[in-house]
Amino acid sequence: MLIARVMGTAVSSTKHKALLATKLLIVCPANADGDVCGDPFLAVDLVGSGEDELVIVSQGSSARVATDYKNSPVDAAIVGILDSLQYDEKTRFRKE
Amino acid sequence: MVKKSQTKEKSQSAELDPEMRALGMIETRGLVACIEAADAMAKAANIALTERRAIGGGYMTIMVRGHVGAVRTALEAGAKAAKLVGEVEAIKILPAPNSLVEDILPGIIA
Repeated sequence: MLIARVMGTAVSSTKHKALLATKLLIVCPANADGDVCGDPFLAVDLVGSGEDELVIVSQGSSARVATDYKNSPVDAAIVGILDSLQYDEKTRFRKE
Repeated sequence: MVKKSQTKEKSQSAELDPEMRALGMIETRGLVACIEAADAMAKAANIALTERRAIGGGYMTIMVRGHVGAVRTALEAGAKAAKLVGEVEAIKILPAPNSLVEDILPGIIA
């Protein structure tokens, strides 16, 4: 699972039927301090996250299992919103 | 983050360009489902929430404006979220409302 920051939304009218009625968000992988450090990709939102939130992204077949779409091309899903990250006995990120 | 949600007519400053004229409506039974739908819609796509209207009996309607693809995405996300919380009575998108329709709906920015 990845730590990722929600950058924005993606709208697609023409898409596979398994993606109908899904909410697609642009997410960018982040490090354990919450700083963006990778290339953006799209993920299906399952938890109602919004822009600029730090979220947990599940990839691969785990993402397919997490959604209702058993035979779908979904391979990235937002499965949680992070409230805080702690390591080395310090809180590195806290949601305002 | 630009705040787009407005529930009163004083949203004159929220200028919408002519392409963002699709109108989406979602009607719920109950206020909690209505607010949940509004939140889900605002997070799902780049749309403007222009009105929240109660017509009695617990029926609440939210109107959104934007590009037709964005409005469709937002309505689907809003309905999905609201169904878990309350009853969704109707959702409808008008991709290009006639100007006569705009005249009879106060609060919709033309």
